[in-house]
Amino acid sequence: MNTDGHATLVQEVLEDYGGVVRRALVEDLDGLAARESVYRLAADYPMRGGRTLRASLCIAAARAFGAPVDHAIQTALSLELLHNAFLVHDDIEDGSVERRGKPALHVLHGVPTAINVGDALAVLGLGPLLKNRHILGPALAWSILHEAQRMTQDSVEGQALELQWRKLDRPLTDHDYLRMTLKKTCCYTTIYPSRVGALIGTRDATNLDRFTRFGFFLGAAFQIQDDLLNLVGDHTRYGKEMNGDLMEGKRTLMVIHLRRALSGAEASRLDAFLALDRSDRIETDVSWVRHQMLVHGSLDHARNVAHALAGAAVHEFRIAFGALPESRDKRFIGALPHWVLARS
Amino acid sequence: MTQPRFKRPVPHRTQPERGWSGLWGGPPIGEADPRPADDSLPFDHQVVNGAYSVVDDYLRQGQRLAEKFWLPLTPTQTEGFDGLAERFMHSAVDLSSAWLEMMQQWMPSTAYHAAPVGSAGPFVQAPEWGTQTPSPGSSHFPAAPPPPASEPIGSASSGSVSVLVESSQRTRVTVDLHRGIAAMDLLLGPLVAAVGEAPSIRGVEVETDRVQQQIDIRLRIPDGQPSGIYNGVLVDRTTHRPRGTVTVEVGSAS
Repeated sequence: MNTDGHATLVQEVLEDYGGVVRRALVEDLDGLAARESVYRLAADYPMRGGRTLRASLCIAAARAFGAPVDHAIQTALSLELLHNAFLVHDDIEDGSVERRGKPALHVLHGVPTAINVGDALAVLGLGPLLKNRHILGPALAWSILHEAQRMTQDSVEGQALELQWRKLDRPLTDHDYLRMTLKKTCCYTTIYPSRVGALIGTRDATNLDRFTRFGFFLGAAFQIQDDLLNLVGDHTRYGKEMNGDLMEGKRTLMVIHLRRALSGAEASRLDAFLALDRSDRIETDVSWVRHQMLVHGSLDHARNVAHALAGAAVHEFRIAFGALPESRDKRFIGALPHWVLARS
Repeated sequence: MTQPRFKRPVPHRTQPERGWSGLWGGPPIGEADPRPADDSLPFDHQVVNGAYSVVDDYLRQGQRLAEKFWLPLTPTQTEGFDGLAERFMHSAVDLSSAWLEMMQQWMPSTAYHAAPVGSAGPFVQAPEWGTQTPSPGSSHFPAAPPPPASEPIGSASSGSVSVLVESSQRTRVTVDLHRGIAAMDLLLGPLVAAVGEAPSIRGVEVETDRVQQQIDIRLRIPDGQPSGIYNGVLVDRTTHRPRGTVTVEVGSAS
């Protein structure tokens, strides 16, 4: 299958599964909104669109092993609720002003309200996991709950790590970046959906480590590409503030590479820029950092790392899913490492 | 005259290449650099090797968490009130786990019982691949998978099962039962070690009250029984057909 074929298949499956999950989610929130207005705000981000990659991967992994959609839908729904909760809180923590092409929730409604909406989404995410008990039986529902607990814990640890780095006065390494990305992004974006999908599909009868490896390589390539798109992507399709990561002082792979490449006064200037609060960073400095990245090959370095990790994801896909019979879901999962690099 | 024997050259490495420091530029925060730099590797190999070290560390963390949760306690951990409390917590976890599995076998009929893939026990035949997978290219969701060819585990009938374990060691019991088993006259054979040559556990009894739909399983684990997994088969005395399994995980003496 060529790149266009991968992209078309991934897009179709994301629309199919994403549509199912989003409709269920908005229906649930609409029902609750009649009682409390907080749920109307909670439906804002889900109704703006989004790829629903996490929910779709969860459903596809379960189906690739033979489970019907009904067995995975609640877990996927829970994941989507939690993802939106993270987005609301992340936007506040990062000082982001845009989300999915519109102003961020805290920009529209203020920080206290946005925090509460994020809390509501996170708590609502528990409900579908409890419903699993009636669909999958108590033991499997319990196992999924365990997985969700570790995923959530790892995700907040990853976010904590990234926040700590903003106050760090020593250079970071690519190894640090991957460790942070594993927890902050991969755990809930690709590792958990792969693991619980396999858990549901095999009814807890397989070693899940291989799905962790696949999810890690896929998720890390996804995150690096996402960071690159923030610098070089198409704003109308990207949906977030361009150069926003630099304005927020995020330690992306490109920033880490650049810091390693610079010395003397230039290194000091970058350190001083990263030490500022977001409100004190100015456009001139952001342009200077971006220019230095081009001069020192930081973008190419990140692209090369993303390609290497995507290659490893293809390898781990064959180990984790290779023995399964051919199906649309298996092809979708196999196409994801190619898709993450091709998306714009 | 004998020729000197040829020997294989000593390999320059005997472990997978997981050197990452050449790429990563320094040790991770708070950790020592575990391997020397290997700049001779191509760039993408260095990237992948480094990334594998990250994910392998993560998996090991998970394993350590799991071991902390399940391994038998050492004597130093069980001293004093704190130790007793910890032992109680572990026992409660084991009991709740066994209870959940038992409830799963005996809960009223739900969609759960129709999904056999990966169910434990030797009496469940996993369906052939393809019988449950959606047809390639289809954009529609398939119906629920067909029931397996063999009789599924779990019971839709009313009834209850009790398990009484007499053991000085930490023990976890899992019972897999066929449908309608409470109406049968049952025999439980010795529990045989799944791995190794450990002696079988013979102190096992099963009684069935067919009127009350009640099954009582009693197990006595001899002192000093080697730790490990032991399996026994529940057999219908009338038909001599296997009707379920009893699995006991024995931990080391606390």
